[in-house]
Amino acid sequence: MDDLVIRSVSRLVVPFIQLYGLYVIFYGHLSPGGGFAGGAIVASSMILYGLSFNLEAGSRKLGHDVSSFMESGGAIWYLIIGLLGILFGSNFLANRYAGVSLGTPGQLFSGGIIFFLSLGIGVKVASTMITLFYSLSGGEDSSGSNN
Amino acid sequence: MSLHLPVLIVVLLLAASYTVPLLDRYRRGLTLPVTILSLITAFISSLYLLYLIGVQGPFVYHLGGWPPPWGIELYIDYLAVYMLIVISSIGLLVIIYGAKDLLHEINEEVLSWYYTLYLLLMASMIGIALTNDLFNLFVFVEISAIASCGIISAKADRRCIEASIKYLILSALGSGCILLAVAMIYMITGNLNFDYVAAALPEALKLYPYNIVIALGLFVVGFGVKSALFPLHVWLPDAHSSAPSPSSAVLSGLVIKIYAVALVKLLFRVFPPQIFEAIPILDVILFLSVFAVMAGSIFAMVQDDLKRMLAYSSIAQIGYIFMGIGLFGGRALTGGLLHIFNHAMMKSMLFLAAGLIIYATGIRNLKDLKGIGVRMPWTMGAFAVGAFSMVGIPGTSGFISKWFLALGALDLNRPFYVAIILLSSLLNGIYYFPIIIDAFFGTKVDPVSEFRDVPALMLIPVLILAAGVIFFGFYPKPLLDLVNKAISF
Amino acid sequence: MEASPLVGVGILLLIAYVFFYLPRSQIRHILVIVILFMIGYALVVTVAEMPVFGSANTPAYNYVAKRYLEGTVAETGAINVISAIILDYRAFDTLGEATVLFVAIAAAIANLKAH
Repeated sequence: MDDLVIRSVSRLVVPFIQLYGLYVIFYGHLSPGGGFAGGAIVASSMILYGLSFNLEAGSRKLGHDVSSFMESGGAIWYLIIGLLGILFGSNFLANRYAGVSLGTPGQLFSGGIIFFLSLGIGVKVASTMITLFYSLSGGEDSSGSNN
Repeated sequence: MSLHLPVLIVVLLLAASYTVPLLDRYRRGLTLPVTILSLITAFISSLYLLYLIGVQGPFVYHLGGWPPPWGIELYIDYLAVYMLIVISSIGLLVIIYGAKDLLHEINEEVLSWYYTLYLLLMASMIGIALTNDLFNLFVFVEISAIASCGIISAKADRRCIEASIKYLILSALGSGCILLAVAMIYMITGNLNFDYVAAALPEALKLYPYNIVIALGLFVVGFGVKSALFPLHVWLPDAHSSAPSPSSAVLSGLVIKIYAVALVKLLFRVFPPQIFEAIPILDVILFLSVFAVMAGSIFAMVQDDLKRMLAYSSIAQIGYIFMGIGLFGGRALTGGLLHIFNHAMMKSMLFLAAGLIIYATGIRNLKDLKGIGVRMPWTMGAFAVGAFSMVGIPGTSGFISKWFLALGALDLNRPFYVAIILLSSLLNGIYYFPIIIDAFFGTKVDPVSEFRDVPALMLIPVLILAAGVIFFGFYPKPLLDLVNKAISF
Repeated sequence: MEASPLVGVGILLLIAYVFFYLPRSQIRHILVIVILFMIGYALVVTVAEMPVFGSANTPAYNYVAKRYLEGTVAETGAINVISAIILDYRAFDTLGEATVLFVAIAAAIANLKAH
């Protein structure tokens, strides 16, 4: 698709969508939203970019390597946060019982592990949606780029 | 630390499955060792858990430190540990076999993704065995449903795609039924923990009888589809026969049974006994299992594809497990649960042996197997042990579980089911014995031109399983003790 | 409930009619419709029996939900109760859901690479 209007508008809009997505992820414990919704919003910005320019340009911005690293990384991050609970003498995925400081409710850095788990989920969801989009649309070599 | 072990097994398998795709990019050689090592650790941990609950009795694990009904709880009892040992031991042996076999069955690019899916399948099955929470159960059921479709369609074969789409749709239907049932149970009890639901259900039965009956029906249909109970089995023959041999072994040996175990947990630990008076669900299961046992055997008789025959035989064998559930009250449930391990051993072994034959000669048709026993004595010897065990010859483990099923039927004064078991054993004999006789004593029609030597690494798991079948046939006491503790609800 | 024998007799008569007077291809269709009606009837009865949606007396609004609503801020430090439930009280389920995403993409990539 080679349309000046669409390209200019999406170039303008993409950063704002991403910022909004990050806001939704980071404020998951304070306002409606969270990792799942925010991750989907961030991913939609990349999908918009890929659609309005072309798929190759989109996959150059976020290569297969990075997205598969994000995918595994988000999930492993979640497990590590969970294991910290055991390390601090409580059970897997413990928050208050592990002695994590809960902070002042209403502040950005409050809620203990919820903030960090939300981050992990956000990364995971965003990378999953982007990878699925590029894999299924065939923007990247569908046999997988292993170069 | 050891009390964290149950959740650590699940976490370890999940972590390994997340890491394998990364290793695929940077250190491809490490993917297989990581897979096998994590499964070995899971197996050793399961054995340690068995020792642990022997010392201190069944225990619970509260995730996040939140006690139920607020948080999720894992309940580590004998049933869970029994399933853990079954899953991790068979899963380990199958993937050791698969290390060599998969090289010729699936694309090299896909191998690490196959290991990922395999580990996820193992983790989810262990999760189903451990969990004590309805929604957590559903989450793990969902993971295992997708992962088991993935390990079928990883093979570059059109029939695999067709089979796995059929499986995916029916399995999603089953997941939908289960989710609906979970939602209904939550709606009328306000709890998700098994014990709290069980405490609330007798009261709710007076207010919302239809909801509970429908929820129970949905659970039976949902888990029935997934474990291929007779009229819901249509996906199984295609899926299990077209998949790569390690996938067939795991799907037939483990996956269809874990859903039966989940149903056992729900029927006897969650639903109040009064429900069986309101609706004869056990009789329905029994009725269907009789059909499964007969129809599975009859369908298996008319197949000429080796793996397809084994797949139909699985339908008959899952019937025995459900017969054990349906004949609740006597020793039949012991037999049914015992059959889970026995059938897991023998059917995995038969599928792996079939995979060896296909690997060595490329033959799938039963008629071409004449004289193969001379070329591959060890493989066909193991196959013969598995076949004897399927039929229920004394001295093999299959005999023990059928014996207890029959005893249980007599305990309840229902000799009709003893006749069914005998008749179906006879039918099993009709289609298994000709294969063995042909293989060892048949004269070859035309010599197999291409013949590959079987690597020892592929043969060893098959022989270990065969030894297990014979060992537990002569010395079933440790298993029997474990199963008898597992069913004391 | 006194109508149920009548319904049963009616269904039997219908089946008898179907088997005697219709060609086989139509029998299948009619059997499917009858079975679907029976399932639909059972589900409608069930829905009619369900607790009223949104009412304060539903069993689901019990001590568990109250504790979630009242204790969340003190126990987890989060203001958004839903976040607190999915990422703290029941964080293991969310790990499972993240794994569902992971398994979906693993299966999709395995498929795309294999074919």
